[in-house]
Amino acid sequence: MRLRSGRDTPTFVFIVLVLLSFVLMTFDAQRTEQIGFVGVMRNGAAALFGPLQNGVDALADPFFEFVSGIASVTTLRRQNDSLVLENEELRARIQEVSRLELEVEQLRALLDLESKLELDTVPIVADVTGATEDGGLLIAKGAEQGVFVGMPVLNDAQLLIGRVVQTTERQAVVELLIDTPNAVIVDSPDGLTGIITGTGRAAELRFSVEFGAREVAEGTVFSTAGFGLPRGLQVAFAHETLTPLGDQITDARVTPLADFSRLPRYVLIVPLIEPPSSTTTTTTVPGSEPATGGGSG
Amino acid sequence: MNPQRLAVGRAIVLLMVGIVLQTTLINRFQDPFFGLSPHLVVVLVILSARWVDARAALLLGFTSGLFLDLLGGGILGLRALMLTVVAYAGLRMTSELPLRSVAGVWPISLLAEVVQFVIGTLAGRGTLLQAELLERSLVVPVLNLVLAALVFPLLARALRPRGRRQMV
Repeated sequence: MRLRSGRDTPTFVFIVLVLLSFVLMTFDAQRTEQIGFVGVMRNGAAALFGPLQNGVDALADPFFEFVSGIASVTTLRRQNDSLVLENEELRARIQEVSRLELEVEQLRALLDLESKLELDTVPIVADVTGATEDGGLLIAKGAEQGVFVGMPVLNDAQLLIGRVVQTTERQAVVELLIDTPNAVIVDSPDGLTGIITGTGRAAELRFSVEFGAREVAEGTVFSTAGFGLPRGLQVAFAHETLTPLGDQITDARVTPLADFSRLPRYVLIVPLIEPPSSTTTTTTVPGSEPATGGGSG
Repeated sequence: MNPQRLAVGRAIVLLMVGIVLQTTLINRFQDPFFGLSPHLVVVLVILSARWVDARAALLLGFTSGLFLDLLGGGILGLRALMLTVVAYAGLRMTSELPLRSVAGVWPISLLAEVVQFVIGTLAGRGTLLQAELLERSLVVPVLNLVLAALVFPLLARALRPRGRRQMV
């Protein structure tokens, strides 16, 4: 063991850099990174690395898809077997779910609660150029293309996969639904409202209901209930019957509808028609932030 | 040109390439490794400490981490801190013996994972009780060790001072 330049200089530099890191974390805690000095730094980093990332992504994408496909052959075979069984089971339930959805739509129409995701909303299509260290997505569109913090992000099957948490001029970062601190307010077709949180795992989310919980049937699909996101975006389904404890459901396991086991090649970003501040509620969800707040949702 | 400066210049270029590869390719290539991926930047910072000046190694670690923070959506300063600790540990553990330098990647990577989880937990990102910590601590250091064995010859060619390269 040795220190090349001897004495205590490296230790001193080390201590200074550690302190500097903590100062930077303080900036982050104050959520000032979107503006001012830190915003300039983020834009600078994106300007420096963005073109390189785009170039490498464009060159390596076909090769990566090929290698990734080969690497997952075994996994896919195993998944295929279980999916065939699951498919037969789910097919039987689809009819029941469809009937319930129709009924809910009719009830919503009666109550004038149409989805805020209007059909004439043109989603922004963005190429996924990579992944962040936290498992989020790096996308090749930013503020210049109208991408802003808080916007919901869908995959090609139009299923909710996350939210934009950071933008620079030409790049943005999407935090995925499965990331640990993420929380989304959802409701079931029969009107049960709860919170879905990420677990850090690709095929697992947690569902909680604070009060008024009742049994949730297996196969129930949960969709966004508004609160900063457009209503009606499908998020997850109950893999098994969820039984409440008292009038609460705490951290019940549900399965995301979107496939998070591999990164999408492109995503759809839904512009918010109404700013989240205009929603009628002021409820705050633990672990979530308002969509305009610039934070991880 | 001063060989030390040349080595630092080359290390900067290698780390920039490492950051681009990490964020565009390696972070996406997780299917075969239990949903985890090796950390090329950590490996480069550890191994670079063998050839560049101690202060430069620390600054390289800090700057690389800062760029990863700026490019990602996580806590600003988290990876800067983590890679500074990695660089310091790399300086402490590096050796003239190549095998020992490569082997040192395993414990330092483990340290990096622990630092990241502790600071992440303090900053409210997840919790230390997550099963992910155990998975990451078992898998990522091993992946990094394999990666280190692969990139060591390349780094040796790029960063070793010319005089020494001719002697060896």
